[in-house]
Amino acid sequence: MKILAIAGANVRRLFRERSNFFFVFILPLGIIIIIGSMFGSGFQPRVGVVGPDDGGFGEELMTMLEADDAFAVRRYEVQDAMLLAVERGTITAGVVIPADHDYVLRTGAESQVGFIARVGGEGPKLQATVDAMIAEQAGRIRAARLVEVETGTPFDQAVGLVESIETEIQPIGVSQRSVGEALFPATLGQFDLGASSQLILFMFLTGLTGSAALIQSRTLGVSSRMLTTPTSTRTIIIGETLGRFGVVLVQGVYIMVLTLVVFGVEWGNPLGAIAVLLAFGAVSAGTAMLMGTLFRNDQQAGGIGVMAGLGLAALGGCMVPLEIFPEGMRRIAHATPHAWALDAFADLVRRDGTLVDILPELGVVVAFAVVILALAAWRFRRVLTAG
Amino acid sequence: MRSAITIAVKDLRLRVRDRSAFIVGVLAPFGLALIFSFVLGGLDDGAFDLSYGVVDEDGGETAAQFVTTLRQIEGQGFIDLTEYASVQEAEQAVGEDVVSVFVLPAGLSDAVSSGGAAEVEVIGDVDSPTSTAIASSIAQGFASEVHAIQLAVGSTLAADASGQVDVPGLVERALSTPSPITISPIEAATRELDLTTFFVAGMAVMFLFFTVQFGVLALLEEGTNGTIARLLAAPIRRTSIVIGKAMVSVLLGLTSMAILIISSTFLLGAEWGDPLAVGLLVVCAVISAVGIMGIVAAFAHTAEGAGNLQSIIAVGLAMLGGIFFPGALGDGVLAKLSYISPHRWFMTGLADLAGGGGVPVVVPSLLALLAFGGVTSAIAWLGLRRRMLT
Repeated sequence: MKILAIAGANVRRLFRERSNFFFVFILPLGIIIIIGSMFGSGFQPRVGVVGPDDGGFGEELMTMLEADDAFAVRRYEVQDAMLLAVERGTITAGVVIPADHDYVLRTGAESQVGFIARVGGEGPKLQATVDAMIAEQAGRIRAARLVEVETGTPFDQAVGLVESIETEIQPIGVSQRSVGEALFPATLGQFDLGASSQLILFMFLTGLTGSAALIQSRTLGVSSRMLTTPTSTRTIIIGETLGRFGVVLVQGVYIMVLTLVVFGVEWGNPLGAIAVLLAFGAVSAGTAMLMGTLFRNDQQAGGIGVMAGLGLAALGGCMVPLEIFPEGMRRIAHATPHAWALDAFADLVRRDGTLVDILPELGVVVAFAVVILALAAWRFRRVLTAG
Repeated sequence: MRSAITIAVKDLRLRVRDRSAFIVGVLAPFGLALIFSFVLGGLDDGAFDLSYGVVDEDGGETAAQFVTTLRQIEGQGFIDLTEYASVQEAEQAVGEDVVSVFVLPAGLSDAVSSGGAAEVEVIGDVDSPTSTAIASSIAQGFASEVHAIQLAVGSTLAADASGQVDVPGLVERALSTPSPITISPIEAATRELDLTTFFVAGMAVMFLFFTVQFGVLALLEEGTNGTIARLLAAPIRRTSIVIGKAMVSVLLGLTSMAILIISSTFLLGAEWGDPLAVGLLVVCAVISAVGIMGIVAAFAHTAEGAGNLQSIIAVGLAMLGGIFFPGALGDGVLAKLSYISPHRWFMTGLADLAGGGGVPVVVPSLLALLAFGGVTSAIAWLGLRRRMLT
C-alpha cells in the first residue's frame, strides 16, 4: 500500500543518515548513564575525610564516619584536594582528622578536628552529625583519662576498661522510624527515574529534529512529485504522518528495550507501557508534522526544533521529577503532554498501576495527539496543494 | 588580506540575512537557559530543611536538658524547633510543619539516674532521610554526652580498688573534665557557579560550537554550490579564502558569546565574574571551537557529512563536559573523562571565578583551552589550506 511505502521510506531515511546513529542511539544512552550515575549514591550528601590510617583513634573516627549511613563518605589523601572538592561542590563537607590525633589523645592533650564547609551552604548543617561521632569517641577518652587520674591506671589499660564498662552501662538509645508515603519507593532502581523521563524527552526531540527531513522533502520537491502521481493528498498526508510515527517509535522502542535489558529498568505493566509509548509517539509525530509545515528553512527548523523540544521537555518534567516541582510549576507542567505521559509512567512503575489505572492520563495524551495531528494534517494539506 | 575581509563580510551578511546565526548563536542558548533556570531554579536546591519538633513526655531533668540543648542549636541558626504536647500531634505534623520529631519518653530521666535503659525516638518524614539522619545524630550526640559522665564515673568506680570513693565529688570532677576533641570549622570558598549562570554558560558554550560551524562549513558549501571554482579562479591568494571563512567563525563566535554574557547579566541576573578573565576564557573557547570544527571541515568529504559530524562532536563534547546537569560529573570515571572536553575547562574556569579573583585563578583553564585551540587550529589550517591548494 502506498501509505506504507511512504512511511517505510521515511523510516529508512532515518537509518541511512549516519549521524542519526549518534543522536538516536548513542546520545540517549549517554544521558541515561549520566543521570543514573548521579542518582547512584541515592540522595545522600557526600562528605570527604582526610585522616591517618594508623589503627589508632584517628582511624577509628574515620571508620565511624564511614559506617554512618547519613552520608556517603569518600577518603582523600590530601587536605587541599578535599578543600577544592568542597569549593567545587563535589562534596558537601570535609572532615580533617589530624595525623597525630591518636598520639595527642594518648598524651593527655586536646586534638582539633577540622570541618570544612562552604559558608551559607548546606555543609554546616552536617556538623551536628560529625559532632555526635566525635562526642562518642571523646566520651570514652574522657572516661579513660578520669580513671587514669583517679586511680593511677595507665591510659591504655583504662581505655580497655572503659570499653568493657561501656557495654554494661546502658546508654540512651536512639531509634528512628519514618512516616509518610514515600515519593520514590526504596525499590526504585537508580536508572528507573531517568529512563521514563529520557524516553519522553528523546521521542519528542527525535520527532522534532526529524521535521527537518519533512522540510527537505518539500524543498527538494519530493512532495510535489508525489502529488503528480495518482495518489490522493490524503494518502500522502497519512503516509508522511505514519513515517514520522515510525521514526519516533524506533526511538521509543530502542530506549525501552535497551534500558530494560541493559539496566534492568522496570517499566511496569507491559500493556500500559506500550499504550503510553504509542500515545506519546502520536503526539511527537503530530508535532513533528506541524513543525515541518511551519518552516521553510530546515536549518531554522533544526535550531528551533531543538530549543522547543528541550524547552517543552524541561517544562514537562523530563529533566527533574515532577514530584519535586513546586505547586505552581506543576500546574504549568501539565499544560504539556509530557507531564501527563510521565504521570502515567509513574503510576505504572512506582505504584504498580495497570492500563485501567492510567486511563485518565492516557486519555489526555491521546487528546493532545488528536488535536495536534488534526492541525498538522490541515496545515500539510494547505502547504502541499499551495505548491 | 583585503580579499579575506571581503569574503568574510559577504558571508557575515548572508548569515545575518537568513537569521540562522542569530537563532543558533543567541536565541536558542538564551531561550534554553531561560527555561532551564526557570524550571530548575524554582526547586529547592538540595537544601536540608531542619525544622524539628520535640515532645517531652518525661518532664524530668534529662529531658529538659535535651530541650535546652536543642534550643541552643536553634540559637545558632541551624534548626527550627517546635514543642508539641503529644506524640499524636507531633506525628501528624511530620511532613507538614516539621521534618522530624524527637520523642522523649516518660521515665527517661529516671532511667538515666539509675543507669537503666532508655530510648529517644526520632520520627522522620520518609522523604527527608538526611534531615532525619541529622536529627538522629543530634540525639546521639546528646546521649553520648550523658553517657560520657556515666561512663567516666562507672569506670572509675570499677577500677578503684580501695572502695572508698566520694561519688558526688567524682561526678563533679567528671563533669569538669574538658572534652579532649574539639571541632574547628574551616571556611571554604565557593567555586561553583550558581544555577542560572551555570545554565547560561553551559548552553552558550554548547551552541558556540554550532555557531562557529557557519564559517568553516561555508568553505565546503561553496564547493557544493559551485562557487568555489570562481573563488579559486579569482586573482586572490587561496589562503585568503580560508582566512576569510575562519574570520567569520571567530567573529560569529565572539559576538554571540558577548551578546549572551551581557544579556544574561542584565536580564537573568547571571554572575560571570572578573570581565578580563571571562573575556580571555571566551576567546580561548572560541579558538578551541573553531579549531575543532575546522578539523572536521578540513577532512570531511561532503558539506552535509561535515555538518553532521560537527553536530555529533558538539553535542558529545558538551555531554562529556557536564553542561547538562550541575554536579553531573561527580568524582569518578566521568569526571576524569570530562577533561578531554573543552567545555569542561570553560565551565571550570568560570566556576573558579565564582570564588572571586581574576585572571590568575583561571590560568589552568586558559592553558588547557589554548592547548586545545592551538593544536586543533594548526591541524585545521593545514588541512583546509591543502584542500584549497589541490
